[in-house]
Amino acid sequence: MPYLARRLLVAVLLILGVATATFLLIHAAPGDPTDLYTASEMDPDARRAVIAAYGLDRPLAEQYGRWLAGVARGELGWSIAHRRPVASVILERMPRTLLLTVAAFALQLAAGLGIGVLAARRRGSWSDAAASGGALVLYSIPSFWLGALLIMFFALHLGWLPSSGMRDLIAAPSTIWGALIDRARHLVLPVLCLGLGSAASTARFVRSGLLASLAEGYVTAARARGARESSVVLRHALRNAILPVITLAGLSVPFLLSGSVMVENVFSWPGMGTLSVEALFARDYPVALACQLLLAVAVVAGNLAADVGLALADPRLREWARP
Amino acid sequence: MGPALRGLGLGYDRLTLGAILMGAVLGLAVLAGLLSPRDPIEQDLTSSLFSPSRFHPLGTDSQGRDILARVAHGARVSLTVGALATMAASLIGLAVGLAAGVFGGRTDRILMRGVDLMLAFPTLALLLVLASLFHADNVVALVVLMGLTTWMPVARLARAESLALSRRTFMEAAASLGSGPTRRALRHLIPNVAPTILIAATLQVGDTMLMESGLSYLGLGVAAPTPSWGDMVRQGMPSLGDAWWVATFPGLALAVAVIAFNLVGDGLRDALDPRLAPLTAAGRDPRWAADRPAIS
Repeated sequence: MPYLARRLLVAVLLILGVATATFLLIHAAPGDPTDLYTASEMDPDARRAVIAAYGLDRPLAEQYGRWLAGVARGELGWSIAHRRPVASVILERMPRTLLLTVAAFALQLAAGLGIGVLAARRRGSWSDAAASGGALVLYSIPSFWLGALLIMFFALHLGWLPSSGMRDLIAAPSTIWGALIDRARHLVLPVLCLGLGSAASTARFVRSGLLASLAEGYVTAARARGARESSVVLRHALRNAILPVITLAGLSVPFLLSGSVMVENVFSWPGMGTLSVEALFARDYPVALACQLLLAVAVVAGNLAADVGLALADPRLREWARP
Repeated sequence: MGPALRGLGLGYDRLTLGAILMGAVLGLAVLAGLLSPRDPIEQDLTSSLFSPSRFHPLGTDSQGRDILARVAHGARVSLTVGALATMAASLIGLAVGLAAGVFGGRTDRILMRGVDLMLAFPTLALLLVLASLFHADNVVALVVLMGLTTWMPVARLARAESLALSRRTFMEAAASLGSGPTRRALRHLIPNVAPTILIAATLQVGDTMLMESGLSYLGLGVAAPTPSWGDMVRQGMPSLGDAWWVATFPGLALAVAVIAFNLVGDGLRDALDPRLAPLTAAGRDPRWAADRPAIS
């Protein structure tokens, strides 16, 4: 498919650009990058040895080539704070961030679609107004403050859910089921905090798209043929209104990832968001920049996935894509 | 259904409601000294974590500082950074977008690939790294960094608008009368693009304020002891259980400010340029819809 092939090529080039920009950032930072690896009171010979070991005495172009080759092999450098390869530090944290963002993404789609459809069907009603007003408030309030409110109400006031971390450290559950439930309980508040804002945006998007397609001729035609109202809305109107939502879903990846940096820090969720902030304060730039690189790769992948999804969902795009 | 709900929900009176809230936040910033005569920075450990009372309407924080005074002074930082950074971003975005639209061809392709590249980085995460690398802990540095990382949606919008305008007769007339690209951009495009950019910028001020407070919540952003809303919420986190007011009020002020800018942006859009509806239908970020009109 030339369309998808072209999108794929663009994605690869973008990732190359992102990797280059990340490399340049390391070197654009004020101060010598070698300062990061060596203490100032170090013996000059030992210092030179360290610098040579990391290849920091080589020309910039050569360092760039080596770094890029390393990235291609999945070697992201050496973490100064953790004293082990960056890749292994990140691999430990990444699944937790994925769990959080995928769950929030599911919430975004489910709640966004459900509320958007309901609001469109009851256009102008009290519940439509409440949904739109609620959406505006939800995507306007800062996620860290929403997190604080959720903790105050559900964790401290009602005592229903844990306020931080990923598992119960004091009364660790002994069975697999217990561990799963424990993990799920720890997930609820961070996922709400991360997903509610995007769910609100999605709902608004679904609502306006559905209203636009409910006014189309094919909806009138379906009604004229005597289709049930639920079938008119869900099978005829929503299927057409949902195409922009696919693009929106792909484009919401950077928002979920930026959001996860905040939310993980609010709820002490030990993922990549807390890792990258810890790394910044420890001046562990190899880790911070590797996180940055991976986030950017995820964003590019999200856009590519949206393009693929759109090509699958929209027959018109498939037609154009054929040679 | 009260008028407030109507304003929030149905686009009935959004501009008015937004303007009132925006005026309240501006008043907070301008009248900070009058509203609370107390010092927002001076610590007094004998009055640590007082609950709201006649003397401290919003209570005190763990260092005994009056929260009302700090919230009011924090409004200055938030509004200044939000407004200036958005202005910087709009100017950069306008310049890039117009250049891409007017010159077209290779210039257009190179500039837009640059936009794509910048958009690949989640903005807040990139901003964190940059603020830490370059020690941006004052208003000026933050404005520069945020301007440099948030101009892309405006650039796409300005490019799309200028491409659409180029096909209009008055632009052809200007070209056939001998106006060069620079003159066309300055004399004919900018006045026509300006309302659209103004709407996008109003909506972006809220986002920028959220980013500034996010940075300061994480301990970057404007350096202490200058009061900043994000930092104040962070300081309230350890005492959420017994001193709810410390984190609640600064966050509430920020939420009201962001809602105000979003309401005014939505209202302006409805009043000035109904064509832009998809711009904000997608939510807070114009880039979600700005350059993808072809799908539906």
